[in-house]
Amino acid sequence: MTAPRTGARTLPPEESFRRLFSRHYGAVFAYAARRVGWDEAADVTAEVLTVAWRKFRSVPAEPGTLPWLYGVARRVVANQLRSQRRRIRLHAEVAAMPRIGWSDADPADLDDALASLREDDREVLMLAAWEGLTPSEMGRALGCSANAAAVRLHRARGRLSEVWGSTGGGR
Amino acid sequence: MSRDPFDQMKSRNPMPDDQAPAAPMSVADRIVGRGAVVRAGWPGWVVATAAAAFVLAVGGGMLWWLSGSGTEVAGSSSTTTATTVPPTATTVSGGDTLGDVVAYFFVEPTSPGWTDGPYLIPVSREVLVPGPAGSSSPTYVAAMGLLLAGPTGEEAAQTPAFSTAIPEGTSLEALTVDAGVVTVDLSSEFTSGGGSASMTGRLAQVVYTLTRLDGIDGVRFLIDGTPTTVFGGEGVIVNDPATRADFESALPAVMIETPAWDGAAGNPAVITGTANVFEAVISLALVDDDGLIRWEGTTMATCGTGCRGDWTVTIPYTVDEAQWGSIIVWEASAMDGSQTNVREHRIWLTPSTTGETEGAVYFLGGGDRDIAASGPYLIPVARLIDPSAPYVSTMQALLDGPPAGEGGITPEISTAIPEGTTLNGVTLSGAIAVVDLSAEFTSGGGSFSMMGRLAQVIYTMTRFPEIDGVRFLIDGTPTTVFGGEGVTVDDPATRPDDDTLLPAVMIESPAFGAVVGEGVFSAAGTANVFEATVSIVLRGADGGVLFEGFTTATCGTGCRGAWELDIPYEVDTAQWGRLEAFESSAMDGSPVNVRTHLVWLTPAGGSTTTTTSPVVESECSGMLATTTLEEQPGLPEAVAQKRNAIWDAAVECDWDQLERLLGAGFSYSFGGSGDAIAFWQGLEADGDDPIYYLAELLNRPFGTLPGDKDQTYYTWPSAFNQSGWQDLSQADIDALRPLYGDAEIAGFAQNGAYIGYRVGILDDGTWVYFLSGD
Repeated sequence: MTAPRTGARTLPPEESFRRLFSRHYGAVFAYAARRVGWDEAADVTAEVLTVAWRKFRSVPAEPGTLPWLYGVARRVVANQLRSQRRRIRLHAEVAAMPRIGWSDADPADLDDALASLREDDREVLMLAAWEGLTPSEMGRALGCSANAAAVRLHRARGRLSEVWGSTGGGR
Repeated sequence: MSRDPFDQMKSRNPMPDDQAPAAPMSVADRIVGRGAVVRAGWPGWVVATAAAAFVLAVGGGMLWWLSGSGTEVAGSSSTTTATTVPPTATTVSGGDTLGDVVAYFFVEPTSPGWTDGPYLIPVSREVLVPGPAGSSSPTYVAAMGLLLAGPTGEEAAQTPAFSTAIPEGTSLEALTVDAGVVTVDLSSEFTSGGGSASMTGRLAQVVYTLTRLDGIDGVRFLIDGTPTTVFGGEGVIVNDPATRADFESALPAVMIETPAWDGAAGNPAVITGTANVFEAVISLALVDDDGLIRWEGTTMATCGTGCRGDWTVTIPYTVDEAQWGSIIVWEASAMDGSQTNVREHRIWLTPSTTGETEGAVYFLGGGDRDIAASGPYLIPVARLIDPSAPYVSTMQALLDGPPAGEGGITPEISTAIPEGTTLNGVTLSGAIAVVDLSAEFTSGGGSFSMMGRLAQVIYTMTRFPEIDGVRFLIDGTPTTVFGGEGVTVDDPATRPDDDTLLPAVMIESPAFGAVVGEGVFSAAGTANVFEATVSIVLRGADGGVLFEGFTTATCGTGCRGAWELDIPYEVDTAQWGRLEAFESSAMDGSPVNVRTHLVWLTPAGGSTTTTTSPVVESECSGMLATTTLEEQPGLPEAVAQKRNAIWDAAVECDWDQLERLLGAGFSYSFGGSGDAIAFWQGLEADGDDPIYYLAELLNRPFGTLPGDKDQTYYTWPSAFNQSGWQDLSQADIDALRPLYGDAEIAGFAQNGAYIGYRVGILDDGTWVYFLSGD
């Protein structure tokens, strides 16, 4: 290659990180808000991006960056929910799982149907429906192949329809 | 409105992307700037608050000498370090040794949950201690040297910032040790400047630093050789000798004593400290280098609600390699459970060297037993056990209970043993384990809970082959009747004959969460099922079936028998698998009484195949395909030729040839762009078998679909049609096996159409697609 390359390669890592940060903060924030609610989302996002900075050298280049961040966010959220549940149990309060953070206007039946699914099914559905990921991006976020992700989405959709139908959804 | 709930989900995104807030770049700057100092366990706003608090403390007239600031120098500028301390009466000549020495500095409070600071914090540093190892006096000198030198510039600038109240220029003139009391002779700079808060602070630093050393209870002060008990213009008076109790006001509500900041945690980590908190309850979390929680729990201080008590907790943890982590300790607010009085130390985590072995304890897991009665039932759960104290460490693991979220999605794992139950001891008397528990064990719960907790102990201890029964002591008193409802146990108690607390199908080994052997392992359990037949399925992390089989229990249909089965499996990478044991319904063969254990699977041969390894040409899943391609009448000549060519290239794994065969505008599975061959190679490397499917599908019945401009697509398999699943013949469906199993076929039916892999060739012989999905 004869032409000198410009762009990301020549940037200092701090600057590259700032660009990554400004490009993806909103998406990671939205991901977190959908799962743990707006209040906790800023903390989760900061944590995800802190991990990204610490592991900056292993963060994949675009367009793989955001799916990778979702993968980290998934673990951070799981961690957060785990400690949340722990706290709740500790104080012997209502042992309710944190609700999925969507708006009150949604009909309860879809909410319930989704909540009754296994966590991995729920995650794959949310990644497809809300984050709008393609199967290959989902694969990156979930640590599996694109094909496995597509199959998982397919199965999860089937199970969602099944649960929804049996609870009288879709009237 | 669409009938598909998935479409509804899409339209009800709780947070559309365009509503996300703009990126706060100040947070990015903070992340980039703070390096490893601030742990991920701290909320993002902590840093800003800390900086503000720091400014307030200085601006508010409190006089602190900040090492490295250079603005408030009192006295001479000579720095005191461990190696330049003048020789004292106790110095011994000899080789120097490298050791961890701790000095106490002050740290700013970094969150609103903290009570007003600053507070003392023990800081560990590796320094050269003059003199031979084992002689303690040089350690005192080294500790004083570290203390007088103050925080490093980095420590003064980090968050949280460390500071010292000891004026710069203070030097150690002499140090003697006598009967648990250290006498230090400091230069007069020690008493210069600062108000009474600063004066009390510097005295506290010296007292805490020296009394941390073994056998030291008090400190006597000399200033320039003169015994001194009154300091500064405002007359701060200290006892003679001064002790830790005189300076408790400098401590935070929750204090971590060991490990010190930057100290080594050891493995398991032994964390000690003091606390003055409501009802003496403190909460702890250990986080790793990624900021992820590795352990969480609570402990009790010896005293609380108005008095300061001691606490100690031993935290088992596993890390792959040595790394920085944090211990975070806090008081959970009595109001809302939020974290208050948070204390956090950066600590050095190391992999375990004790060689713990895997044992198991019994918790209660949900799950269906049959239609009439459902759980919870006993479930063995894997735990790391200290082989040097197997009974005690196993019982302790049982009392610790399951961490929240263990079991993941299914089943929920719980314990019937009340929180706060402590182990007074376990002794072995012949084949009987004598277990002494605190009175909390008998508190609360109905008779089912009481039976559950007794069974948990009995099953856990009798899992050891050398133990047949358990004798219960409650605070030293032999006990056979438990709780208000009078649950009685035998003395000694053994595993009961009736199986009230057991599921119809019980997996005894491997325990839930256990690491199983490479490539093959033995599963065993008991069952009380129709005709004694137990079905076993092992699934990989992606849900794919790795093993399927059945075995017969020694007894069935009304009695409980034992079963055992060897389970071979193949995985490319280490992963969590799911071992399912169940009864096939006598009615319709569907699985009932399903028991699921997570198990950690590892590839045979020890080495993990990396997914990045290049795909060797001429090796791919196509080689697994049936060896001959059947002639298919009814295909145009051009299509038949292309079909033969694709087949040959697929079974030969000839990537170059496959690439040459691709038609213009070829489409392959979604997700990639540009290079179909690279995409398939990527799938192959990930353990998928696209080329096997490509070859096998060409050997299935074909169908036709109309294309543009009177063209016709010839498609394999015939199940991929235009009108939907309901129009398929049984032959079309059967042809999908064994490429697709019952579950997938049921999925297609539900979906209304076949959406698996299919191959398409135009009537002019152009290969136009090989893809999957809808």
